[in-house]
Amino acid sequence: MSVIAVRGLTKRFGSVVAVDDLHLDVRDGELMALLGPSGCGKTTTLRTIAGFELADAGEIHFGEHRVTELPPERRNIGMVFQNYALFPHMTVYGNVAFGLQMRREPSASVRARVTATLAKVQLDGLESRYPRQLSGGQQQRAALARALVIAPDVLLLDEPLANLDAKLREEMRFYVRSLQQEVGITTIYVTHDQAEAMVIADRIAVMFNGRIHQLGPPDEIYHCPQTWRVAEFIGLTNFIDGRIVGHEGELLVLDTALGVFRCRGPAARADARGASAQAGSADAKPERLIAVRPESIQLTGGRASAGEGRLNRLPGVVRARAFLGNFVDYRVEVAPGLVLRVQGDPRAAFAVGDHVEASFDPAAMWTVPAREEAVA
Amino acid sequence: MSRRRPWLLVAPAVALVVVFFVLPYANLLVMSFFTPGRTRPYDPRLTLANYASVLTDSFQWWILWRTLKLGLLTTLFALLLGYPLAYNLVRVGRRLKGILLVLLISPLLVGVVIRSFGWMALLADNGLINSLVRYCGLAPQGLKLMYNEFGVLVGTVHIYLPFMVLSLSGTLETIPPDLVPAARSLGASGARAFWRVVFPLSLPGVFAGCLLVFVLAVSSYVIPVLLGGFKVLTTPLLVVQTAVDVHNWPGAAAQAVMLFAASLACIALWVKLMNRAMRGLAG
Amino acid sequence: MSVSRTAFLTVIVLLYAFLIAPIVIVVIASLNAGRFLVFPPDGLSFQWYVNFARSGPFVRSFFFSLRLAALTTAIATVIGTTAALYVVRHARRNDLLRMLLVAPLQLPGIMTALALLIFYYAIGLGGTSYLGLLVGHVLVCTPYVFLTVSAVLYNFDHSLEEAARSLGAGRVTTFRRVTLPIIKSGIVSGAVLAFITSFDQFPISLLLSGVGTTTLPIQIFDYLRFSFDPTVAAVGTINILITLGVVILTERLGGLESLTWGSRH
Repeated sequence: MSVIAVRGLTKRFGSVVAVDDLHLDVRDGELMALLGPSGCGKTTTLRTIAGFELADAGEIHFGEHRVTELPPERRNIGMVFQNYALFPHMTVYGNVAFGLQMRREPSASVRARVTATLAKVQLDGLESRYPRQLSGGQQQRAALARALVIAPDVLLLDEPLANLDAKLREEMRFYVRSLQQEVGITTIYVTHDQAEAMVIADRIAVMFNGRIHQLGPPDEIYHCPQTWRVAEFIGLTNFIDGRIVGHEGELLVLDTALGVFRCRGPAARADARGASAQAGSADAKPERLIAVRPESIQLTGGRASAGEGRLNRLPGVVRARAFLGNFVDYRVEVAPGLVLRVQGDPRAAFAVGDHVEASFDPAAMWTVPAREEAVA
Repeated sequence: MSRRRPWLLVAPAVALVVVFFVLPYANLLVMSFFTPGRTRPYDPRLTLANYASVLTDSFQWWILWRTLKLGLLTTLFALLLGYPLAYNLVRVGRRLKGILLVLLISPLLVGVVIRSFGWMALLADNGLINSLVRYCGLAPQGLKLMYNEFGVLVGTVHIYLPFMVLSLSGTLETIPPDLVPAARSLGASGARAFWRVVFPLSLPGVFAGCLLVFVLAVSSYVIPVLLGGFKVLTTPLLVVQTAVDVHNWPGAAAQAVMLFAASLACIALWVKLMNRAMRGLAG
Repeated sequence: MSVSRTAFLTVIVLLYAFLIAPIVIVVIASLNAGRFLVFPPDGLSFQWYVNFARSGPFVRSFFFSLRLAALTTAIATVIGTTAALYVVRHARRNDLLRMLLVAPLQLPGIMTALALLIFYYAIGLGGTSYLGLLVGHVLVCTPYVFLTVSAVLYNFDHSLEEAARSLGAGRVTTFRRVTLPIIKSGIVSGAVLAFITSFDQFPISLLLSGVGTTTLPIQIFDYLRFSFDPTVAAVGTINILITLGVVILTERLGGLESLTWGSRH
């Protein structure tokens, strides 16, 4: 079990830069998720680590071995593809045994290991079936078994659950996670589904346009997004343009078109690159975006009272509502053209057209760099 | 497979086509400008005489006209007969479709000579149809079904019908099956639903199929020979005759080029017509 | 069933009857006691098959065609398959290359034959050599292999090869154990098509055959031009049986669908 170290990885396709000077460290035994929208470069990064693409620049190390130029068959990886890529002309047994046969394992040992791994993924008894005879979930587990039985140094998964239906996907998330922890294998998991990444990853690398915008554990990514793109991609976020005009203790004071707001100071991060750059830019550029999540906004009836106390307040009108069971999704217009998404308690219901007051706790609001350039 | 030079994989096929297909045709074109030889098939002196003789020979024009006419008639009948076949083919289930495809394609795979023999046995003066007709007293003198343009037409339509069907069914398969029910739910009868919805959408296949069949029909050789005797001379027969019997290679080459040119002209006209028709339908 | 539907189906049945009529007639004629097919029928006889077996020229040309077709198939299958591998993997969008490789199918066979005849004289090969005939056959048969193997390769899931390599298989092993078994059906159906095309090939053989290199179709043609000999029917029936058997084999291997791909290219 080893560490994956990626330095300065760059990959171009024609004039398109798919991966741009990427640095990544995956710790021993951890599950790192590469998260981002399609086209962000996460799959290309994975495939370069696997060896199916040759990097234009950069180095990749598995532990002490430099694998940058090795072909995939010499990197000792286990890979699970989005469509499973099970060999249709071989049985389940044949598929799972394939990697061991490539390593010239004696057949007795092959039999033992395949049987044990199949039992581990609850596919025992199905060895002589063909992939087309298996359900989607079974094919998924067969693909996992095939990748794990060879005891690879790293496990690479490329959106492995994308082809399953929603309910099965949810179940399989936990399953994959527990399997990975049981085996303790260093894993990179590519996905565009942020809920999935939050559930299974030890750390998430959020990628856009070939670069990592933020790297950290799920709760940090959620509560302290460092760029507006990350904030927008993870969960729902409302943005308000503003300028920093001063400090109040630990809070920043910003001037906006809607009035003066107070919010949290620059977010604290654990290990993302560019921490100092972030802190620096807070002073360099006064233009910021204030970010606040829908669940952190309180709605009360009536008109705005004078801005007393620490809370920021805004008057608004409810423009739309949708009842979602455990909460109500409101769209509240607080200024011409500026509509905020608010999650409200279903018991205190407002109707369309109601005048409400939205209040925001500064501790639940933070700032990110303004929209023109948002890269750490 | 070869990592460093994958083009080696395709090199033999490309070499084959370039050396033994492109070059010979280029050579043919050059040949059409040479002079017919007396003791040899050709004399490598450049001349335009071959084209002059082809363009001024009214007999050759008549042959060409007849060739094009047969091509057009073949295409027309192939379309009329092939459309129902294609329509049916895309609507049947998987198993039946397999069987029907076998039926459709197997004539192609039996060889044109044997098929022609079958038609001869059917259409000849002492063939099966005439025997039946005489037996039933319908036409005591028998029907002239062979060694004329009718026989040639039947044989040619028969050979190229599968090509039309395959081309049409390719396009018909892409038409969503619920379009006709949708049209009918809006008040259209079955026939109107077909003409206003299905047929226009199938036009690309009609277009391609007609083009394919026309080009093939115009250049067919065996059918006119076997089912037309030498009473139905078409340009391909003329070309071969000029080359092999008369040993006039430049003349034959010029005739072949003229046939190509005439076909291309027809194709260009057809493309123009179809584009106009497509635009008319879209507008 | 409605009237119009019955009428439609009747038309369909008649059309299929039209399509297979000549083949059926050939088989019947081969068993006919008389020379011509008459109604009422003359009776059953195997005389024409006996005639065929006794006819030197027919038997010789039959086996000649068989051997030529086998050789043609072997060559066409290899170069057609490798060409398809290249085009689908490395030149998918190169329309010109694809058109070039399929071109021998697009131009009339008789013209290609003529062009080849004249060309062979120009390069000193002459018009009756076995090599020239073989090259001509390979030329028109290879595109079929190319088309059927391409069709299978287009649908081939590239990630299967990547999966094999991620498990430790090198390029050659991957091709041998994963790619080849899966594209086998395309190769086989292409080979079958190539064999039939060569065996039944007419225009090229017509102009490039010599005295000792006569193929079966040419032999039949020579007979038919001057007389109506039902021995031809016997030969034809054997030909039909061989071809139909081979077509059904291809259908079983799922190769017939790939033929319809070819007509769309």
